[in-house]
Amino acid sequence: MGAAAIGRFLARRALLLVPLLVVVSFLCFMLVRLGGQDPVAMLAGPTATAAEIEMVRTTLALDQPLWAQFAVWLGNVLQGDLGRSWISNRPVLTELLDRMPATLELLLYGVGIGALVGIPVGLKAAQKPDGAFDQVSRFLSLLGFSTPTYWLALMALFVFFYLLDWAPPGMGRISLMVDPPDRITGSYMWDALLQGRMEAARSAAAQLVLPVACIAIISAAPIIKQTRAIALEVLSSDYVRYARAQGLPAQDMRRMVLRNSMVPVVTFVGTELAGLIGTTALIEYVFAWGGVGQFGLTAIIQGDFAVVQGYVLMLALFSVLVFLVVDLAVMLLEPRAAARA
Amino acid sequence: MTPLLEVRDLHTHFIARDLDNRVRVARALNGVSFSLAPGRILGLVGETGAGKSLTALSVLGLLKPPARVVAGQALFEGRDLLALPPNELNALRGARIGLVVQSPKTSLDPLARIGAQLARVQRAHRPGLSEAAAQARAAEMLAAVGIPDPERRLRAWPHELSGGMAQRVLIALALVNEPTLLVADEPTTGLDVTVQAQILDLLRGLARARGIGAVIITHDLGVVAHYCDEAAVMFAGQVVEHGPVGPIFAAPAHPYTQALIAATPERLQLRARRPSGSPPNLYALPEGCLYRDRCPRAEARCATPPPDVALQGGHAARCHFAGTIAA
Amino acid sequence: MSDLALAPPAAPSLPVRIAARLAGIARRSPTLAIGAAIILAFAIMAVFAPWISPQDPVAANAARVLQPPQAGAWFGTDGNGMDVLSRVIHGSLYAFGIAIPVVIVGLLVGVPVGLWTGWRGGWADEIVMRGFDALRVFPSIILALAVVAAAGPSLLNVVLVLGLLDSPVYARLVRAEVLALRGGTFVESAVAAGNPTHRILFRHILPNALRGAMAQTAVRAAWAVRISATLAFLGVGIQPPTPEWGAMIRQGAEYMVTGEWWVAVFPGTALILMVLGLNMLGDGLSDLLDPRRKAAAR
Repeated sequence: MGAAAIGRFLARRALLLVPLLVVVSFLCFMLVRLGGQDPVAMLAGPTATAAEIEMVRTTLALDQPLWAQFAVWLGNVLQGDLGRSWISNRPVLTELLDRMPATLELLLYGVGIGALVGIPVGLKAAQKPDGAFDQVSRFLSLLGFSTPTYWLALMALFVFFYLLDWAPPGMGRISLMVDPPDRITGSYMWDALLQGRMEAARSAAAQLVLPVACIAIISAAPIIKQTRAIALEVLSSDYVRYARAQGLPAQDMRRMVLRNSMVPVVTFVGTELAGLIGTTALIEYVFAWGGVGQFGLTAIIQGDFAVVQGYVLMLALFSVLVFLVVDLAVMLLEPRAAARA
Repeated sequence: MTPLLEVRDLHTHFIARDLDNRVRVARALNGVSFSLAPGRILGLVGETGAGKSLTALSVLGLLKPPARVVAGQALFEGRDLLALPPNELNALRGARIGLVVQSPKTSLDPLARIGAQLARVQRAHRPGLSEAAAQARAAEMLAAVGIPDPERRLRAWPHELSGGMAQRVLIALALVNEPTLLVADEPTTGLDVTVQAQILDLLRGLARARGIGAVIITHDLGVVAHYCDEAAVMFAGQVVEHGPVGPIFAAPAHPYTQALIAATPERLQLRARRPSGSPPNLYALPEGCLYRDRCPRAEARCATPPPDVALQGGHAARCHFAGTIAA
Repeated sequence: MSDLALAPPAAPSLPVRIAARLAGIARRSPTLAIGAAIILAFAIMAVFAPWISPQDPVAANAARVLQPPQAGAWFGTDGNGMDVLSRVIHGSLYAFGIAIPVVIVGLLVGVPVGLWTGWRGGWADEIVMRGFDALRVFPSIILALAVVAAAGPSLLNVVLVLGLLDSPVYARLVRAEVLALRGGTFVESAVAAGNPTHRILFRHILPNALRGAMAQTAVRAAWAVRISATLAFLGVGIQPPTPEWGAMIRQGAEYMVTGEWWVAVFPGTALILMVLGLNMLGDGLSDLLDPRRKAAAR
């Protein structure tokens, strides 16, 4: 597959996404208007005079019909202007981007570990359906599926911080005793390592352990279930049956099942990644992580809808981006998809 | 001469529990017996549900629960396949015994090139064979099954092949390790009519040229008449009549065979016009002859199990009246 | 005597046959049986909550604040001195009280939309499906939170928003069924027999289409219980001191790092059990109703 073909594929896919993105941004736009709260009054503040309120209304084009408001809003968004927080009055985009690395760090490590554990467990469970391993892993997966994220986080803090004192308190990304490193990547651990500050790196890593473990557990549950289902489907396929008729040794069979399961599993892990950025927000909330998720949740709770709008739009864009990357990965892994493209 | 494959009184059942927790047994094979001499071609024929494919899967150890062989023997070159440990049977499959199935397009590993699949089955059974040698042999084999430009086709993906081409690849896979027995399960189902004849010609030619014994499973009496040396007619999980093709078509001895042949003008397939009536309920098989509910000649003694009556020239039928009635 | 001899052998009585059928189902799908047992237990707890609770769930008692589990207060007391056991028992009322209406709203909206788009096809179908695709891009928790917060966090809004956000699940299922059945022979013959459209839709297609949607209701109820508890945990929706599990976990959160674990652990355990039971019920149902999937799993 040449670079040109990949470029063509991405360009066409991006074009297909335009209508989706318009609908998505319209939904975000409507979010603020749903409750009938007057954003102008919020923006102008409680002491504003009628004239001030009118001025804000005009500058935001809120006196125009809905479609015109949407056009103005979308135009601003396309220029990177997501408005200002109703509470802090700082630009929403900057606030979000500043906090993004902290969230991505949690999410990628968590889902990465979840996949590293969940995929082999799911494959092993499928080898002997209804066997002891399968029964146990299925139950654990259902349990993980049913456990509220925030409660798991609270339990982790209770056991590993309060009872055992193995983990630091859930108060942010680095110990309060340690100065955070200068910003390079946005990840405290890597930034500290890059600057050779071992103490800070160790503290940042220690803070990561519990929240990452929680996300890993939450993400592994559906990955186990789905990997098992995918592997079972592959195992019952014509080609696996025919491979058995060819007397292929167990090792060849395993490799074949693995290869053929990988494409749907990768697709599923991608959708998981997109969905779990929501769940990560709850983990951030409990551990006071200070990432974009905690920021967004707080805005939702406080009713700061300029931020909510930007946050939700950013999550949607993240999902779309993840799906695009997954599509690309599938195209590289799968000869049939490459033929279709 | 010792037979290449001899199946003796094979019984396979589907054993499951229903929602009321009662054990339900579907008796799918009820004493299948036939034998095949080296280098001969046997046509295993019967209507859908008669147990043809199930016979092949049972013999090759490819059954999946709830299907289970409950009795019988399958002697391949003197060894009982049904009593072999799984790994020894696995070593025979794909090496000494080749299988060709229907739906060739979905039976090829979608994520491996044709050459890789041909090399894989060789190296699985011949430790020490180099990848290069396996690929060279794979190209030879593709040429032997009539695939043009074999060197280039080695690099093809399964989805790039037509149905007929994929079936040729399956035949190459089945024969690449020089087996002595080839089992072809409905090898032409789903292919174009012109391609069907090509594939069958190819199968017969290769079997003849290499001295391979072959079992062709089909619902098409015409295939048996044109391509096989021997025939075994199956009904309700039993072989009701077997013997050389000539005598069976000239003087069918079992009423079911007679009905089959009567319902098959020239090359009409059984699916289009099968003898009237449905196969018996496998959950509650009648005592005695399984065909008697549909048989125009059924009498009181048909309620006892019919004997295998030997006729001239290796021809035999499982019927109380065999040899006494004419077509 | 001769009458007796001629009588057929006594058939097993109805309860015996029902018990045998239940045992058969339980043997085939232990998941289903365990799930059903858990949900039954919670249902009993919810119905009889006022009678089996040892205390009033919202009776504050300043003299008994944050008591650990002990005789008389088996699950301890919370920061207001309220009895945690009584609150956990009453919480099941809220779990059912939200999950059931959410599922009903989802069905009431999703099923007609699925019927209509599947039958009608064309641009209307296209627009609705694109809209559903767009909704899928948002993580469901955040979307639910944001919409509930925007609509105003009342109990009614929680139910309506969750039901609406969940309706695409049913709509897609029903639409797929309709599309599959529309070309089928029995619909063709119904049309040929001169049946009007609405009659075909509701008499012939709806019962078939509903079966797939109904199998999903347990899993969707699990989702509703989980999300509504999350809303309450974040303080959007039901507020303390209402004895709702999510709200109780919110109250107990601060005590987890000071050692008073029982305030959050017991409602959390109840929440997990309830969601687990619903998920097991749903898994078992789809295993049982979809023989193809079961066959593949064997």
